[in-house]
Amino acid sequence: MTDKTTTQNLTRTTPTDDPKQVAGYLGTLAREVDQRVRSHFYDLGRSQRRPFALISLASPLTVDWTSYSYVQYDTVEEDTAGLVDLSVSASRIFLKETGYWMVGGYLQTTGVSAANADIWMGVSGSYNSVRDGLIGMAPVTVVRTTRVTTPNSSYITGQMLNSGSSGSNFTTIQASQLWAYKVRDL
Amino acid sequence: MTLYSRYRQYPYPRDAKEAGNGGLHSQLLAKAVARDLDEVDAEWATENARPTLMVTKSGDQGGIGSGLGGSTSIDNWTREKEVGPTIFTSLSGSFRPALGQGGWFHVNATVRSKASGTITADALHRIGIRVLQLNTTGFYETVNQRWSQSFQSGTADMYNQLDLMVYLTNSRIMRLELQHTNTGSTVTVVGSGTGGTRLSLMRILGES
Repeated sequence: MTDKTTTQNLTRTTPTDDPKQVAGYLGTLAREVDQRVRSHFYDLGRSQRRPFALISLASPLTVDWTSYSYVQYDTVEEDTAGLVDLSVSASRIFLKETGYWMVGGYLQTTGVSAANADIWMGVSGSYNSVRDGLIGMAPVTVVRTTRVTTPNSSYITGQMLNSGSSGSNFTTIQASQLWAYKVRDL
Repeated sequence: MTLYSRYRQYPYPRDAKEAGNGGLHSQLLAKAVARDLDEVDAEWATENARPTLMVTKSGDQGGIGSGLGGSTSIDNWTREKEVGPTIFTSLSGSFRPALGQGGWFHVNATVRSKASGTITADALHRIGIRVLQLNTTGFYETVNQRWSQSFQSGTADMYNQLDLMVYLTNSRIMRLELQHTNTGSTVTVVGSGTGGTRLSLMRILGES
């Protein structure tokens, strides 16, 4: 009669086992360990290539921001889990899996050179803003964690807003990136 | 005849006659499993640790002038905490991953600085991450530079912060810089101590 190891419940022989049975017990052990180690390699693979997407603008883009809200990205820098489809939506990264995600974005514009105008960037409901003032250079970053509890239900966008009524309606987005990576399961 | 498990090909005896071979099959099975577990342990130690480096500025760096609009590299860092393997061996200025240890990094930088005079509203006072690539002639040239917002109308003590995703390799390196265009005023990057200048790099995805 075989025994089991304490923590991993793996089959092991005992001194009273019939030697004719050992082949069968070794076969059972080999198959149990086979499944267990296969599971470890699967988890390792998930960890090495976690869901991660980063999209960006390839070149500067001049926009009228009175009518421009969501940054329209044109380059997929990285997408390990099919989170992006720019032909469907050029402004979104889909958070397809449940879990905790870190999301963020960066926006660098020439501003509107207005003393009372702020440039905002929003990602997943979090905003950061900067007043470009007289300089006309306005980079802004936003980073946050987000908890996804329903698969295929969430996405993030890079949203650009301004506040302030004076100055030009036009600005040039010199650089922008939007990214998301999964930190852990729920 | 030895049989093998379905996924990892672990050996086991076909029958009792074969199993009586001096415990050979037990040894073969144990060795095969140990080899796989060694591989899992080694790779897990690297990837699950999510290689992360946190550094603080080693002391103050002063005398940073307006530099005709150029930017100054913030040099000399102290390793505060490191998780996983040592990816960045030199902390004197540029951040260069060891060969094969590059990839996408989530970079967070906070720079504390103080100026000898007030930063005026029309001047820039900001930090930037510059990425440089080794070219075919053996020189590093700038690939891109991304900036933080500028601290305007500042006084004596200012903080600039920047979060960015950056792709680095052994030939594609990163520097943290400060740009200050207020003429007639010099800037000191404040180093060690609580609330000083610090930088972290966390690898999200290894090199492809």
